[in-house]
Amino acid sequence: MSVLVLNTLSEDNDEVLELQNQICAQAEGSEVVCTKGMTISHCIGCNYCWLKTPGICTIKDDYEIILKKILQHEKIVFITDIKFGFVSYQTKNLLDRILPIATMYLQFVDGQMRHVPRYDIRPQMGIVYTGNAEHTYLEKWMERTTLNFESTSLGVYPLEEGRGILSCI
Amino acid sequence: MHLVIINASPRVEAKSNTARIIRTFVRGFEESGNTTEVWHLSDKKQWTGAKEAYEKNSNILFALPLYVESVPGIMLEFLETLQPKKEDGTKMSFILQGGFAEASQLRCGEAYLEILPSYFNCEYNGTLIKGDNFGPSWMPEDMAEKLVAHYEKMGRSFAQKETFDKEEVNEFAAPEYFSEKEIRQHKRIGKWMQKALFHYIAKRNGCKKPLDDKPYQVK
Repeated sequence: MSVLVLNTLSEDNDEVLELQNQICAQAEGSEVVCTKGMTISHCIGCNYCWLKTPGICTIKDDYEIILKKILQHEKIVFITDIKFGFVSYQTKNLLDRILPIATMYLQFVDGQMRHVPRYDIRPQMGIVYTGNAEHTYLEKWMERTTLNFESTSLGVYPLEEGRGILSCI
Repeated sequence: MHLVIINASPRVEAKSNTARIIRTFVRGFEESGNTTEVWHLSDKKQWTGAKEAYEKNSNILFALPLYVESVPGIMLEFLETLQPKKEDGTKMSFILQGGFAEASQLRCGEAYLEILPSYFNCEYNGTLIKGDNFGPSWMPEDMAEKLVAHYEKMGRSFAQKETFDKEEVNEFAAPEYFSEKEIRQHKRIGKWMQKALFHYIAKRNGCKKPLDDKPYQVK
C-alpha cells in the first residue's frame, strides 16, 4: 500500500523532510512530489475531461505527471500551507484538477448522487498542514471529498502531530 | 445599494453558468433602483479592478461554482491578493451553485463560506445555494435562460431584505435529498436519459472515445 505525498509548501523544513522520510520508510513504493517550481494551473472548468477527451485534462502542464502518479498509489497525503483557515490555492488546484479520475456518468450512492469512478482506484487522502487551520472544517471537507471517490479520509493533522498520519498508512 | 459582484468561476464568461446566474439575479436586484458592478476572475486582466472594488465598497457578493466540496482554487488565489478591511461594516454575501441537484451537496461549501468573511474583517451576510446547474452552458440559449430564470426573484428578495434569508434559501434550494422513489426512478429511467444527453454533448464536442475511457490505466 504505497503513498503519494504531494508537498505544496512554499518552504520545506526539517520536520517536513523527516515526516516524508518516515512515510517512505514505512510504506514501500511511496514517493514524494514537491510542486514548488512545477507549473500547475487552476482547473478552468471546461468539462473536456468528461465530455471531449475522456480522462485527459485539456491543460497541458505539469499536472499530467501528478495525475498519472495518483493512479499508481493507494493513498495521497497532501502537505500544505493554510490560508484563511483552509488549504492553500496550490493544494486546492491539485484537487480541483483530479476530476479526470471520475467519469461524467452519475449514480446514487447512499442516497446522494455521485460520479462513477473511471478507474479501479479508490484513493484515500489525508492532510498535514502548517499554519492556523479551521481544523474541524478541514476534517469535514476531507471526509466529503474522499466520499466522492468512494474512499475514506486518512485524517487531517497539524505538522507537529504529523506522525499521526503514519498510523493510517 | 451598490453591490460589487465577483464571479469566482474559472470558466470563461461566455460559457460560465455562474455568469448567467449573476445576469439573472442582477435583473431582479436592480429593479428597485439598486446598482451593481460585476468582475470575472476567469479574466486575469480584471483582478486589479475586482480588488479595488472590494477595497472601496461595503457590499461584496462572491458568486461561485462548487469545486471539490468547497471554493475553486482560482478564488483562493484571488483572495490572497486582498487585505482584511481596516474598518468594520463590510458585508460579504455569496451565491454558491453546483451541478448535483440536491442542496445537501452544497452544505460543505456553504460551511466554509460562513467562516471566510471573518478573515477579511467582513460580516457574513448569507449564502444563496442551489444545485442542478450543470446544464445551462450545454443548452440552447432559450432553454438555458429558462433554467436559471428563478434567480431573478432571489435578486428581488435580496434587494428587499439586504441579506439571504436562510429559510427562503432552503426552499429555493430544495430538495435537500431525493426521495427513495425519485432515486428508484433515476435508476430505471433517469440514468439512461442522462447518458443519452452526455453522449449527445460529447458527440457535438467531437469526442472520439467512450466516456468511460481509461487513458492512463496502469497495466
